[in-house]
Amino acid sequence: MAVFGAALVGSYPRSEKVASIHRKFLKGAIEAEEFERLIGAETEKLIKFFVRTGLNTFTDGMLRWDDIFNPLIRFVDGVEVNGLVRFYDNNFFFRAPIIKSDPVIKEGAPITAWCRKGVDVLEGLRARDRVTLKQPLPGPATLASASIAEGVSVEELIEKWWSGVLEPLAKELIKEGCVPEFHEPEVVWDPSKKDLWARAAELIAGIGKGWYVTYFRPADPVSDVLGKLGEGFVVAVDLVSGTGLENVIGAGVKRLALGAVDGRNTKMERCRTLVSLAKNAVEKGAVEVFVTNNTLLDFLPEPVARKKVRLLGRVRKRLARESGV
Amino acid sequence: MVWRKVELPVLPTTVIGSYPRPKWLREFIAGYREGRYKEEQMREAFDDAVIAVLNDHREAGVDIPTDGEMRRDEMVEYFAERIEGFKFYGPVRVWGNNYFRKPAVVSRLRYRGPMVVDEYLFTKKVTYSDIVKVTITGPYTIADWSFNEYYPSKEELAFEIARIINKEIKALEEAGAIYVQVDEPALTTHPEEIGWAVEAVNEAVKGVNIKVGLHVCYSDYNILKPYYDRLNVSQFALEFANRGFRDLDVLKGLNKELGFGVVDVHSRRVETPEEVAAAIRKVMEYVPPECLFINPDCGLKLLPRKIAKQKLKAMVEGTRIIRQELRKRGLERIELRKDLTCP
Ligand SMILES: [Zn+2]
Repeated sequence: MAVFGAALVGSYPRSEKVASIHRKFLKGAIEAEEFERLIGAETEKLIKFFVRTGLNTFTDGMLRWDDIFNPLIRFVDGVEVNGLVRFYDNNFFFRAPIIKSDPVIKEGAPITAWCRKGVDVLEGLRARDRVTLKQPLPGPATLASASIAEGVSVEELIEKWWSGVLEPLAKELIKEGCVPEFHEPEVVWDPSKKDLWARAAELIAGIGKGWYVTYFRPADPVSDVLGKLGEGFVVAVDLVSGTGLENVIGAGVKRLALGAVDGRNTKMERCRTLVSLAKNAVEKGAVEVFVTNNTLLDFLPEPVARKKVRLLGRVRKRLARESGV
Repeated sequence: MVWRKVELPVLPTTVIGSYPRPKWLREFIAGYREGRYKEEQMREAFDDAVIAVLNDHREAGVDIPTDGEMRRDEMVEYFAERIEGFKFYGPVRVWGNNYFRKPAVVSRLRYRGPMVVDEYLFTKKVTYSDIVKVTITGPYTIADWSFNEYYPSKEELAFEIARIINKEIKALEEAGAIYVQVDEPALTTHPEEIGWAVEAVNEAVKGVNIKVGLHVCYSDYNILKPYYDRLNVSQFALEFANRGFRDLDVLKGLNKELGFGVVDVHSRRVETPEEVAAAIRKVMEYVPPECLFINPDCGLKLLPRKIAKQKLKAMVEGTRIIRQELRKRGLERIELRKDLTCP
């Protein structure tokens, strides 16, 4: 019997309050410790909100993050942080890593500790057995493609980022009770390199479990790549950008996250439509189906993102009711 | 009003549009938002700020000034607030902790009446110059930087906005403006849309009988290149200082006037007049001097005011060096042109 869920992938937008905490920190008006205390408190509120709405798998909203690369790349030896670069076709910009030597995660990088704090919140709510907390990370293909490196190929960069940073981090996260969520928009953005992306997916598959999230373009041209991930992974596809689920399922992906709630448009989706999309995926052969946002919610104003998260919660309840799960 | 003959020195100097708001104005706006000042007082402060900006432009020696867009917080927001059918849900992040109030289109868009005509009339009244430039955000950029909840496609949305912008440009023409610049920083960001995006710009300038420039910045100009002829504007104002005056090859085959960006608005280092002159010499290998305007790369508003003014001075002084050289060739003055081609 199929399993249904509703999930949040990636970031949740900074509320006015969170923005003001960042502003104070950037101006030097508060110290790092105070910043962490305030952001931690806001993150806790957000996690409680996600639990209340009925989401069963989510991230901590990434309130400490500027984009999917930062601040992770600041905790990596061998890397400098560049000026602003456009994030695909969005009016949104990130700071890219400049590779000076082989990237290696620094001792004491706080990513795992942040996720652990989220797990603690769930334990406090006695919700750990019901919900899964994920920690978003840039996938090796996306991170390698965003890197500025002279004389190093994307292929080499994939290996280096994986072995020096992503693999150790992902293993540590799993140990702490978090599920790594790899963001791989690059894989669908440029399917012409799918042989390379397949290699990157094989590396990820070695971790054994996690989420693999694609967005901004349809996933069916890289179905074979997605098929490499194996049963431990939930694969998120952007249904707002295109369909082609048959090919993805046909390639062996049975655990699917349907990115059907548009993170790039304020227009509200209809609960009924989302529910039938999920059922439809099961009819096509999926065994576990989540309804999710298609991409980072940071592209939306916070009040709209809040409504969309509530919508996802309603979708899950309705699916549970109608499928008897 | 109709088109009139205006003479300018060769290589007319101008600005792209925005200029740093004086510190006192920023404080006044904050006070106004807290309810400490009346609307009337706010308007007076904006007027005073425009006079201050024009004074900076005059002292720097700029031939064609703008009002520095003193009244506009942001280039899309300002127009979205004045067109019926837009709604603001809240800010969205653009990078780091920087935000933009991205509007949403929630119903059919309607032109509610002039949006920047008063800006133009005031600038015209107080300026030192013979002509001023009025900037207006283009239909594609407004569409691209908005959420579309209403129109079946972004293309349909962009064309609806184009018809509204067209009304505004015609209202400006009616009011006596002879030089309008359409700003389209987003124009090349989705290469697969450029074909219709260009036609949306054309729709916005349809039937207009004054000079229209088009500003596109921080873009891959190779995407624009195949459309040079298709765009019914008389000038492209492009950014080149930021890219170290590389990529000038994209100007091969340009048959329009060029607004040449000679100072970098994202760097606080003030260029020297000699650097500006060298850049102009270089671009003259591609575009004849009678088809060249000289301007900064983009709006100056993110710079400290003092540096913005110094950059304008350097731009004007560098231009004067080349004018001396051109005078020896008998080229001193040109006429403001609205033709779609140059020479
Ligand atoms: Zn610009």
